[in-house]
Amino acid sequence: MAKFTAFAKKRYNQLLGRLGTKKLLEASGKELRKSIRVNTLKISVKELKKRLERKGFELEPVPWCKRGFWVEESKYSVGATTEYLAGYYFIQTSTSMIPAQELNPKPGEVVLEMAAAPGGKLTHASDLMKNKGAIIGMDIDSWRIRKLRSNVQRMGVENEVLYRMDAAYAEETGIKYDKILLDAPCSGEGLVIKKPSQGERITQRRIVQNSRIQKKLVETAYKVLKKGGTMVYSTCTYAPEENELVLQRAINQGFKIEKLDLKHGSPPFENPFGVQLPSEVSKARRFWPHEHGTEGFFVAKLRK
Amino acid sequence: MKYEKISVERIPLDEFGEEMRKVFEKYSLLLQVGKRKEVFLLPKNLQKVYDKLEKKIYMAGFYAGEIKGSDFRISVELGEKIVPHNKDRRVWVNERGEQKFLYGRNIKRRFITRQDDIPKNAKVLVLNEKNDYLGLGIMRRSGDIKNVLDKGWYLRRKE
Repeated sequence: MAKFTAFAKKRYNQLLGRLGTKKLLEASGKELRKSIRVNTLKISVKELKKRLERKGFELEPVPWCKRGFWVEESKYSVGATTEYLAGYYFIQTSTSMIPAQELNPKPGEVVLEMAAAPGGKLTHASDLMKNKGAIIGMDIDSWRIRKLRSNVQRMGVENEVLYRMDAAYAEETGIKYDKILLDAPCSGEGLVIKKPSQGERITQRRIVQNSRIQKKLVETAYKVLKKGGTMVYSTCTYAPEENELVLQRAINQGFKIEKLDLKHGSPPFENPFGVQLPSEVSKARRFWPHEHGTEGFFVAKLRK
Repeated sequence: MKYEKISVERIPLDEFGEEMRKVFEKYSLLLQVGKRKEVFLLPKNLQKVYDKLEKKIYMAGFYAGEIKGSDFRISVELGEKIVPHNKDRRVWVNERGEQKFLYGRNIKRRFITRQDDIPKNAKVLVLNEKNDYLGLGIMRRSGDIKNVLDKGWYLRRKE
């Protein structure tokens, strides 16, 4: 069973009940299914599938992403094939394929990704844009942005401009964006299934700090997004303060929450810790290890 | 980091110069100002946005390589763009050769399945039998290929 702080477990009991918490903790200790996303900038889905299956890969389609597959079985390490090195696919969790898919950026549009490293969503967006238009990627962390650069190169992306900066100051670019991706920095509770030590780092302070950063990023996003423009907000954490309550703030600011195209996932919390939220928030979706067999994930589509 | 737009004449092009000129036609060229002289290809459709942006960028476009003295060291990815324009510097290797090359090793002549008519000591584009570009090598007198750069770099860099 995965280890979480007593603080985290107490909160899960309040939000999910004892049985739900037990299921969550059990599921969080299991191994996460590996998944890949095909990079159609370099190869077709059909061709890559054929090639990997010939190499002994057993692939199962991810239902919410045409380019996505779970790797049920493989003779080789997923990250060491010629196809991986050639940039034909990206190793990406199945839920992380949702934001770019939902944002659905088109060739020629100008897109901002506010926390872009290590590049799973940026390279996905660029693929959907057919390498046309522009995607501006920002990340504050110098080590992570080097990883982003390496992934951008491997995947053959060329419509990107990368900044090493805090996206809270995105106005400095002087651009109004058609679309924005914000996979926000978060407490990462949902990542425990991938990284077990993460559960021991969940504290109130961490949640409050992240919530403050997320609200600031949403505020900036509103300023730099074109009128009528779309933003997809996501996190890989459970805390309502980093999810539903951030949406509440976004609504107060002027954003409208839109229905997702996604047919999967569970509804978000309606009144977490007794806070009654606007009904619009229910259009967001949550993914849970014990319900969906994925990492924990939260996603919402907003329109200015 | 700061960048300046340059013309192709500022880049010391090597024996793939003709192919590179063809590749560069579709782009503007950006040169990093400072100690490292990295060159990026900026697609024409990205140029409008780039011109509007605050210029303290980390990178933009496609990384083409780095100017070191009188050499232009092409990136592992630029080779992939050169391949469609080249008809005389290609070497195809079998699976064994592919594995060795991607581990950063040289390729023995016996792992080569076919090749263009290549002079000795010339730079070559190394491909596998499925036509995936694997990297760049030098054709030795013995017929072996010396590894100059290869896509396995992405893995070795992690280590």
